[in-house]
Amino acid sequence: MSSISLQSLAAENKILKNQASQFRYFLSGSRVDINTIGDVESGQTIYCDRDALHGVATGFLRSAEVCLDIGPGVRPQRLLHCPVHMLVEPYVAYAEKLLAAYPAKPIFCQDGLTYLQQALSKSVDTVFLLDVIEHLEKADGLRLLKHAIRVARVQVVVFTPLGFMPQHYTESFSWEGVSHSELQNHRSGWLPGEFENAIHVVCENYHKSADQEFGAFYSIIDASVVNQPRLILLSDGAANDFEFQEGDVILADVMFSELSWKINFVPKRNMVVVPFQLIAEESLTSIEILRNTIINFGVLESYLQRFENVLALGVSAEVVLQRHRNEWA
Amino acid sequence: MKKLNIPIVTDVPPDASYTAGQVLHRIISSLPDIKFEFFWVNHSGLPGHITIPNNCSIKRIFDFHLHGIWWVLARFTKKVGERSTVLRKVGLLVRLSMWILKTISIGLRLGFSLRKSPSRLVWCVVQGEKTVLCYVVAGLVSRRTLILQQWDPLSWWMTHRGHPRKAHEIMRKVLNWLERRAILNVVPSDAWKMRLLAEGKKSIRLDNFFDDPMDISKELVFLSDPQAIHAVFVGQFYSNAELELLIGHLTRTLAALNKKLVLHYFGHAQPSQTALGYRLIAHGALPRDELVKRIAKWDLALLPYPTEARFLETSSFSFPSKSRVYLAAGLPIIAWASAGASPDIFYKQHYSAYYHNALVDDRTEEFVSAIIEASPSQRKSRHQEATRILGEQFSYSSELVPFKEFLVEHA
Repeated sequence: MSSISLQSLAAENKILKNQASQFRYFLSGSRVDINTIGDVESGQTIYCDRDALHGVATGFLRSAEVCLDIGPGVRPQRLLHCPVHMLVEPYVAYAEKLLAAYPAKPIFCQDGLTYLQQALSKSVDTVFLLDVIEHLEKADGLRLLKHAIRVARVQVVVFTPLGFMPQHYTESFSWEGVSHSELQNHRSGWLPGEFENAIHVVCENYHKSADQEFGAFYSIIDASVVNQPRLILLSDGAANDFEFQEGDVILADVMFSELSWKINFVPKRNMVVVPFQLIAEESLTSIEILRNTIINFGVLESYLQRFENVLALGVSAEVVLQRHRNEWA
Repeated sequence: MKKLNIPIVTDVPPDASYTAGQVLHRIISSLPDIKFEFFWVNHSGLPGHITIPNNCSIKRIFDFHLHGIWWVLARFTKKVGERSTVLRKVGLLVRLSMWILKTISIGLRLGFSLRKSPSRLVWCVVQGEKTVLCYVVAGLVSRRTLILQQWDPLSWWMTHRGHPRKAHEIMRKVLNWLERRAILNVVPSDAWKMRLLAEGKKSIRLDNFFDDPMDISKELVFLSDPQAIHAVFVGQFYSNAELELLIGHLTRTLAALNKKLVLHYFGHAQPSQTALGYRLIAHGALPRDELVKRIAKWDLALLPYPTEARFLETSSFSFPSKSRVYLAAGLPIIAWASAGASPDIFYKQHYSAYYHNALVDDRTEEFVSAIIEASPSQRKSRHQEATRILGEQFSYSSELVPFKEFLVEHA
């Protein structure tokens, strides 16, 4: 047999192996059993078992047309079906493997941070960072995250070990026939609290070895509200660690703004006063009467309808926000 | 096993949409080998569109409403009674006589119907004084042995309906006679069962039982909220004093711990927030098993229970079926109940590590702190403990099997 036909056979064999590998990959759990858990809001954490982790996390994902998969290795994300699924993989050996296995997907052999820095704001629906940020130094990870949130329209999905989990590159390890590189070293540890505007799904014993256990978690960051201006309803002082932002619009309670010394710590730009305490106490008064008698009630209503990112600080403010959500019933 | 055919006489139908009916539906549908003939003594005037189990058929319906000349007479005496106190008393007496006659006549007809039944046993569900009187007559006429089931003491019904104390005493004696005559008394609490046994009456405990528990630890999820404690309240949202006091107490305790209270309500009512300081989310009503799964992720369950002196018998002998749901969900329970209340005694005995009665025990902050600090693995072991208790106390094997064995032996 000539060397050319041997080469072509080897090439064909490689393609077939890639296709078989891809087929096996999809058959062995490509469809995550979605477990929808209701009543969970941003900032809250769901703890679950190892087997349930991916299904529970998938239940919190919103649908996406275009997704960007940063650092997929040789296995792109399987949580969400995206018609346009872009893969950004910095390690050449993995990228080649991806190219062979997923010819229909756009693949970029590039560092994730470099790619995201160049990407336009709000240009994809979902950014996946699955088993990625723990491979970066903390500062680089934060930069990557910041850009991912900027680029995503809907959500950023992070999956990483719970805290620092040591992992060192050795040449003896390989992933589907591809040797690891130093990129596989873990350089930072992360906790759910470090991701704001997110729902966290945690398994405390996800990675098990003979002598040690490490947890893992998903943080599903709501990118749609992150860069929007916030409406802050304030009827009491904010916590010491609360940071007011440049674009915040503040509706403050009349009594609070007149009588509390804590008002000194609240920026006065974009501030309107509304009698929250009075509105909260008038729980049986109809909306029409409130509209006609309460100063700035129209402003309150209009702002609550326009802003998606609303925070209530203080009991009366929370009651007013709740009544608005209940359509003033 | 011989083919059993047992008549069941009840005011509330074995339809899962009614609270008590849910229990009957569950018992009947869990005994598919036995046929049940349903005699509906519909004294509450419930609508006729009901869904009953496949092994149950409606045999006869008895309507307690007055018709024709009797209705005219009742209206007339009521109208005339508005003119003077004497006429009012006369009117009341006339209507009482009519009511007794009507109930006795239904009891007679029911008794004759039951005589035709091949079964030696009749299962009667007591819900108030009318059913007591009716069953006494029916029992005498039919010459059948009775199984008597009760959920709330007679005083609960009669207090609610505003009957005079004298009537309470008379009906109590009639019920006592009926309980003695019954071959078995089915009640919802251990305290009630023990009282009946002490009086020499045969009794078992049976209420809204669960299937024998399975290991669902892999499916469990727990929610953790750094800002708030998520509490659950299931059932009728009466803004009664006990619930308000419990919420107020909990809100103050949480404020001291720099946490907020989020109250998740499940039930048919449309509740409104009665006080500031907490967030109320109404989720509507859910089927029981779905409800258990939904609430298991939260932190705490609320169990207010009547503390007024006039409901002393009720709080001592009834048992809140919502607390079984809380236990099935593996939630810690915070109650507001008198020290001798039946759930207080039960949960202190069986679930003491995760039960707290805020009315009598002042360590609420300690209890709530433990809930806040509980790790997922501790929450999981609490769920396992609750499941164990549920299996021992409120499961198919522990509650229904003894009842089924009794039916097979005596029917």
